Amino acid sequence: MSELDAFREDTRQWLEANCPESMRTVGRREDMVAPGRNQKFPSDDARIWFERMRDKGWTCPEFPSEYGGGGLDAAKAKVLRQEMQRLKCRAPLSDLGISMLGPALLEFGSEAQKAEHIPRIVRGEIRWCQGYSEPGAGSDLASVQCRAEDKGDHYLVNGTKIWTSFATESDWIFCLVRTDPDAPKRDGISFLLIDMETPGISIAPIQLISGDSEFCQVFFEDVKVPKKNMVYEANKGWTVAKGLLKHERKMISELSQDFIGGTLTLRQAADEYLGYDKNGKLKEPGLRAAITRHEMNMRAIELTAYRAHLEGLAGEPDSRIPLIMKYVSTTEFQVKDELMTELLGYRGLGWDDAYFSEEELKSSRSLLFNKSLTIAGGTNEVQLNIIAKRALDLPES
Amino acid sequence: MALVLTDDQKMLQDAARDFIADASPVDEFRKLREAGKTRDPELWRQMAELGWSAVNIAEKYEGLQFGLTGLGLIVIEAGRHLVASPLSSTAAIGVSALNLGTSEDARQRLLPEIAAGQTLVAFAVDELNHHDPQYTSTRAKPDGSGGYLLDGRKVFVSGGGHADHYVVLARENGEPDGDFVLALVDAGAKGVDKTKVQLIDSRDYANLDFSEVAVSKDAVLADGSEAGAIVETLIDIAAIVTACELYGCALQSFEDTVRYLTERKQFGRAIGSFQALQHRAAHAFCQLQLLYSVILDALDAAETIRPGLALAASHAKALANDTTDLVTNEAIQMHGGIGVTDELNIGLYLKRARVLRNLFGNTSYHWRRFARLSGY
Repeated sequence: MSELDAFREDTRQWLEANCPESMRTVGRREDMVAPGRNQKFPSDDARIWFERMRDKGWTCPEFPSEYGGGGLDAAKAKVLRQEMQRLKCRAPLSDLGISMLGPALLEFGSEAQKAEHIPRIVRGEIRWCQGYSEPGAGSDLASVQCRAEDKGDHYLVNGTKIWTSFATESDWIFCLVRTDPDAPKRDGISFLLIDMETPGISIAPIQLISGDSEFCQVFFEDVKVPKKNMVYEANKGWTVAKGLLKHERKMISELSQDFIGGTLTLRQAADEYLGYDKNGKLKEPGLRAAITRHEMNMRAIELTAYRAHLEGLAGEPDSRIPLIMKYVSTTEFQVKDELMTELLGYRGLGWDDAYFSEEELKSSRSLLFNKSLTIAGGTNEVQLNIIAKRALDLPES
Repeated sequence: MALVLTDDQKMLQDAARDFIADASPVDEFRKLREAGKTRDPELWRQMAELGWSAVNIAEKYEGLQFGLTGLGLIVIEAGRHLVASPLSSTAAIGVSALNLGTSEDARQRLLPEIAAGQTLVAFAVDELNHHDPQYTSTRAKPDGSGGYLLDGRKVFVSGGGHADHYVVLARENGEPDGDFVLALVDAGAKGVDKTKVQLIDSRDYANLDFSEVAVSKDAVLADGSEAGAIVETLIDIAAIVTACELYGCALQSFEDTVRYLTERKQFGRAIGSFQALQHRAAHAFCQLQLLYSVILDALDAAETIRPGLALAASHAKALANDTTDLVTNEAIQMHGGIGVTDELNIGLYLKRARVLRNLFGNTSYHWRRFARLSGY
């Protein structure tokens, strides 16, 4: 038996023995386990599952073991993912620290920064949020104005960040700040880590059309940040940000509908809310055709993601494919929401009333909330700009 | 790993790309068209010499046994250069009919000839203006000794003008619910009447009338209760191969258009610098990438005849139709006035694509079929 086969065998046995039964089903949004100083668990099983995985470093399987990570190479990490998928194990912990900041710190961070932050990410002690966009810097992210002045032993931060997800519940924020206002705009940006408990920080949740308020605006007023919290070099923050954005876009395009929407599938909704004619066809021919198109598009997207994965394994990745995935998948997620809303009719339009089922309310919330998917992490228009430039080599507009 | 090409497949693809670009660029198709011809026998001789007529034929029938994915890759390249050849009608679809059929005699007789590039086959399937084999009414009357007598009319048979043999889809006794009969008919057989038809793509089509055409037992490729599955698989393969050619047409007209966007200047700058055009080009690029994945998956399904072939085929054909509509229309619009001239190749791709769209199922036909296969 090869070493990899042996690892698979051990992993399978360990997961069978250690993953609680209730953690082997598709989770809903509220079942996600987030880290943090005031960590709360949706259930005892979620806590047990998290603790067992944490102790093996498998909350972050590919992070180096010297920082508490799993220390797995790519091949073993893939085996772990496959075995977890086989048992339908939920992610034990979800956080921007794991999916975005951690990989960026490992690439760009100093030894001291890695030693300070990576183990706490692995152990779920810190919840991270992202301070990128500003009221005047959305698609044009490089025009950030939030200022960090060099005061000798610290930076003094003044300004504001917006669309920061879960800022009220987060412990630390990673920010793009302007350190050189006179340089060309991409050359004057730095990447700063800030403890949310630092005096001078205040947070205002933003109410969305869905009624949710997970997006916040964060205000900084004379916030003192130790100089050791600057990642990479001063005025080189754009390099870090670009590396990190790739992780973000990948994460958004991989969001499964199970997490961002309800668990109701279009087919189930069609069964329950629309019904079939005597030939077994969905009653509305127009909706039937629209659902068919959507299902074809989703299947094409899944096949393309799989093709990209296989091309990567074969050592010949097509660098153009990651550029298209966010655009095509988030656009199609929204098509699903619209179709679901049409299928449910009035029952898909409920707001907050005992008259509607949980699934129905989720559908209407999902329709509204998911409008942000084609905006956050780079709007569709920005994605198309990038494709035109990098995949098609079209001239600068 | 069906979605990634093997080294052998890549070599075949490269060889096809080089040969076709050199031996049969679009100018060659234009020459044929000017001369009023729909095929170039010398070109097919060369393609057969390269083994392309034999790609989908087993070794024991003197074929290369390379599989349908390999052939699909050649068809894509042929689509890029508008090659007028029996590649789809004979090497892919005709050969598949013989491979899937129950007549060993027909295989032994025809496959070596096809492999050598000496025999052409056309699949006579449609009877109406739209493809839908459900409405097959050509009558196959049992002759009492395992053969049939054929009566009926087939229309717009692709490759029908030059074919030496037809694979004809009929129904036992012509009854609406009768079993399918798939029959091999000699083009020169008594009772076969052929009328050539010109479509916008200047290729080879014919309408065929069959009047008491005798089909011997050995020429019956499928009948009885097993014919339904054989015919469905054959048509799925035909739809997938047609999707490959559509993809080739779309890909080349897209690449020609992107090049034009960087060359054409208006308002003192390349028109490809305008965001309105960039976004549409980028969107088309995304659709082409998605289509390519679906086509590779469908080719694998066709090669291995795996469960789910029907769904993969309808997906591939519907998406190929849709994407090629988008890309060829955008190609003309982005070229502007010159896009609607005969001088430019873009119009030739559009004309070919619209015919291919109707072959083996238009978009709504495959939407309906996909929905039915998915259970709604």
